[in-house]
Amino acid sequence: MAKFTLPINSKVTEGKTFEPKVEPKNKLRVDIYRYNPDANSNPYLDTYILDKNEFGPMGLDVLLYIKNNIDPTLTFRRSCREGICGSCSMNINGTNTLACILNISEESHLKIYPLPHMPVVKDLVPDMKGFYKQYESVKPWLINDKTPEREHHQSQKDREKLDGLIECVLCACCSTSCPSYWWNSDKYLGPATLLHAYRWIIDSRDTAKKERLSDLADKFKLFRCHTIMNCTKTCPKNLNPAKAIAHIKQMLATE
Amino acid sequence: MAILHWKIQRLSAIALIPLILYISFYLFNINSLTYSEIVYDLSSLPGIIIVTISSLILFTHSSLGIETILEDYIHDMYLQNILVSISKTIHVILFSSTIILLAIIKGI
Repeated sequence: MAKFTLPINSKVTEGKTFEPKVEPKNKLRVDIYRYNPDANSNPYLDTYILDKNEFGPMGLDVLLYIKNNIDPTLTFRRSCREGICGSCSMNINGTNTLACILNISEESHLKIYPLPHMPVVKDLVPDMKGFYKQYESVKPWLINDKTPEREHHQSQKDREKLDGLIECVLCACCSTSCPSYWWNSDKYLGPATLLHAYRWIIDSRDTAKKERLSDLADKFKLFRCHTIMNCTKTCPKNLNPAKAIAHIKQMLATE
Repeated sequence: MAILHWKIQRLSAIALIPLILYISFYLFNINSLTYSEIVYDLSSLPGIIIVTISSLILFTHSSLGIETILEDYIHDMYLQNILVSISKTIHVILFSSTIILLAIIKGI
């Protein structure tokens, strides 16, 4: 049965406030979700009062500034700092996004949480095991028994069909913004995985289209998508997972 | 099965648009009709066809929708199956009642 209240030990309490010694000229208040499983206590919200003149304009700059100068215990994933690796996905001011490509120069207050409805490993680091397992389940690799002498050829037109799909960096912003995924993340594959499934279904070099489609023809794996469109709204790479899912449904209904 | 469920849900939703519009238009103007005119409309062949088809599509759509909601939120499979069965039974009863009422109005 769905649970509509939070367990007592998951309620977010008030944390510490870190204020600068001198009044900031360009003030930014940042509230960050903190959770340490080793401390065996509730998660809490730490507040940092910063001066925007001291760091770059992106969300990740803020986090790096805090980690390097104020609180080295702050934990988050990051790598490329240019929206390619998908590591720094988190919820900033209510929207899932990549911290490294979110411009915060106009903001005066940031609320930063880990991706919603994912188990938290520590602070802003979610446990992505289930997400990657689902991704693996759609066999995200080329299936083609023929072994060409050099490479599998593809026309420009067929290659263009993959535009808007191969740009996905698996940051999980879309999946974790989907209410259907929140309720049924153990059975519903979620927008990111389905977008990748569609990417392989329409790849002209792949020969397992039928098998891939029949694997998805399940009331939970695919049909938990109720076209809520949060995935498309939140995608930091401006992709359209909802459209890919609609195409899969259309293919299943017509083929 | 999942594909059929999805297809029927979409097709019934599309079919309901003109039917609901027609029935709403009829109900908005019901004050201008006498009791015997309404009884005549419901017992005429077009009236019987419209009400039967509308209720069949409406209850099918409603049953499928409630089934989807139960699948979404009730994770205990045993409880889910029981509630889906109850929902389906209620919808069959509602459709049967509509047919029986039409028969009573027709005077069969």
